[in-house]
Amino acid sequence: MQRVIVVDLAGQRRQFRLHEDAYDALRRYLDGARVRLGDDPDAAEVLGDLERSIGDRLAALAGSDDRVLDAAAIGSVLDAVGAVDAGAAPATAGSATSGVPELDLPPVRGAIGTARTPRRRRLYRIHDGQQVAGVCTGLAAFAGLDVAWVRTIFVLLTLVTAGAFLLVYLVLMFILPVAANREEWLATMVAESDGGARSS
Amino acid sequence: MDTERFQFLRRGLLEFLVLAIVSSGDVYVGDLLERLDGTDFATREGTLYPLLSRLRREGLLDHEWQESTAGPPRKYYRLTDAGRAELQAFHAYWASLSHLIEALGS
Repeated sequence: MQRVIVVDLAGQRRQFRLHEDAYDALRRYLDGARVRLGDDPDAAEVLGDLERSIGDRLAALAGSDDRVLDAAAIGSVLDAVGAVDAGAAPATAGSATSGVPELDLPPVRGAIGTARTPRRRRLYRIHDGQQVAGVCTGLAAFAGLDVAWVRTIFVLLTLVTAGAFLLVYLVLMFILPVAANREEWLATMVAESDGGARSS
Repeated sequence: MDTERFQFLRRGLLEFLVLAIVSSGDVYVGDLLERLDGTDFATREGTLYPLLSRLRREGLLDHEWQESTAGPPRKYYRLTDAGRAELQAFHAYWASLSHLIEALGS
């Protein structure tokens, strides 16, 4: 199953849910656009313009029921918007080449770029696969461990402490926010790290 | 009929067509795309935005944000005085160019 990534785009009040490969395609497009714009003094503004146009088109595709967009949908949108033609701007190196350059670059200034910064993991309870209240499934996702290991450790610690460790579970149960499943947990994380930075 | 030479010509002419369309009043990128669609100058945002930002930098047009009925606010473009003068100069030059081509023989 594909991971779903939630992104903000400049100028859009709503967020979009993208399959991971669709997100990658969008990111490649924006990175490529930035390379093609080169030292255009208005590069940031043009990138914002493109992000807004892409957002408008994605909004039409996602509809009011917030459909998850796949790579084909993003592909059709990026095709309609078209690769940046910096030839229409003052000559910049490489403007005549076609095909998006594959370069490892720092993130673009648009909100989509900020999703590339390391994501902050947050501890959630995760209902999907829970035995009691999802604390162990949440801890497992957080620590990147198999949930069986987390449960075993929990049970052992509870036995060793003659039940006192059970309090830890109860406390976590009350203080942790909840995600329905792993996908939602991932999405929350990305959405949080995306917050703010919108290009003007 | 459609040679690479013509393509080269079109590339240089696009900015004057953009100025001509913008001269009709407040237009946003969707209007530009629509007006050019189906012509030899059909283009896409990837080309238009860098062009519009350059024309603005050159002081030929300006934009202002306006709320739209559907979706986020849009940039509406309009010509500056310099832009209008540039477009007029282009019209005059184009006319003299056609005269010249006619005069040089068919």
